[in-house]
Amino acid sequence: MDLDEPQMAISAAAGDGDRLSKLSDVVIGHILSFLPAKEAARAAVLSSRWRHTLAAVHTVSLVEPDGPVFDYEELGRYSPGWYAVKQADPTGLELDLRLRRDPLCHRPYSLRRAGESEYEYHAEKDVGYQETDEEEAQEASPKRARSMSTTRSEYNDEEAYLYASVTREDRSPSPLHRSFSPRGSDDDEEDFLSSDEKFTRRYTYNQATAVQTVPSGIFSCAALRSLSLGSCRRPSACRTSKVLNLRL
Amino acid sequence: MAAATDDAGDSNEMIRVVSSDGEHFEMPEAAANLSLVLRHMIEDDCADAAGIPLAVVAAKPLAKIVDYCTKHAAKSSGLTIEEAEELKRFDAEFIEVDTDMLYDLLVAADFMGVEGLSKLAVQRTADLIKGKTPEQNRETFGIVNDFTPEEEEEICKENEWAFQITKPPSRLC
Repeated sequence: MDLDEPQMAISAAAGDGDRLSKLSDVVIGHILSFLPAKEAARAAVLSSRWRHTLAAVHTVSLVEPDGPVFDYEELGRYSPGWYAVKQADPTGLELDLRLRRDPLCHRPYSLRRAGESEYEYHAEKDVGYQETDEEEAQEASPKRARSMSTTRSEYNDEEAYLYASVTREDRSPSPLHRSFSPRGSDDDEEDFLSSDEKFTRRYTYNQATAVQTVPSGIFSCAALRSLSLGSCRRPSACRTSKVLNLRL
Repeated sequence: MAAATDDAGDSNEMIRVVSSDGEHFEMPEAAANLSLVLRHMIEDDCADAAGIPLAVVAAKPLAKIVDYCTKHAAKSSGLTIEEAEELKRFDAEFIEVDTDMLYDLLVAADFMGVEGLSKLAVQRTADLIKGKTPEQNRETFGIVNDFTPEEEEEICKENEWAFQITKPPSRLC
């Protein structure tokens, strides 16, 4: 979503210098709240005045416009060997964040490791991130409808994932079902579909999204009032007590 | 405590305000009510013929703010679609200002508690920042980079996620 470049040539008034940096934290936080989270965080590098301005932000949205499809190469560089295979549908389900507590929302996603489909695990809500057998996951009571599939991670336990999950409410295969294949790797996509077929049958995959790591800094934003997450991995030791409004 | 309860909205009374550099402005009470600070002053009967002094707002931005409030107050309720669009156009034109004025408006709107204007100015600033590299932003706003290259690299590393580039979907199937 590209906004037009402002037509006027804008430059800081000569002599007056940097007036923007003299604004109060509240106003700067307000400004950054109007930016996508990444751009807001990038402001930290501007100067020492901006180093910690992210903490003044009151609204953070990690939801990418038009659905988060990631540049798989970039993502791969960031967490080698991983890529996301499915993509969000904007009309998605109600979602939950899994921050080692009762899920608040359900959102399907899947992450898989390039070329290794056998590393398929299911995490169950009440056992945190303990990995269980597929059978166990299948037998889980309907109330624990939040099984999800994820590939095994090389990350430490402490770097737990923020899982988005699949609801069980609608068992019919959804016409909205979409799948994504990274460039040219059709084999992988087929692998994915077959290994996750049961999920497709049992749950509606309205969407699946790429995965993004949330910086822990966001969770310590003092002024944070609203946090919108797409599909995110939670960094270690984050606290969200101040977040009043979680939106997905 | 008298005036603010008028629900008619079009009170004829004019409110005087004085800028930091001593210039006097007048606006309808309905317009002044858009500013939280002015509204409270009016409610507390502090609006007299001498005018309400606004210590941090200079004449130039104050003229714009009076302009903004007057326009918005005149069309506050029961907008038709055309009127709403006209107001939108007005806003868009109104905020086409240089960074200096933008800064003045940010400070003044924040100080006076004019929510709509504050949002407008903040949105405009965000639009200026959006989609630019840090270097470009420094240039636009005259921000001096006071980091050493090492520090800068460290911050980039810390915020690595923010420098990841995402692309729009190449295809949906």
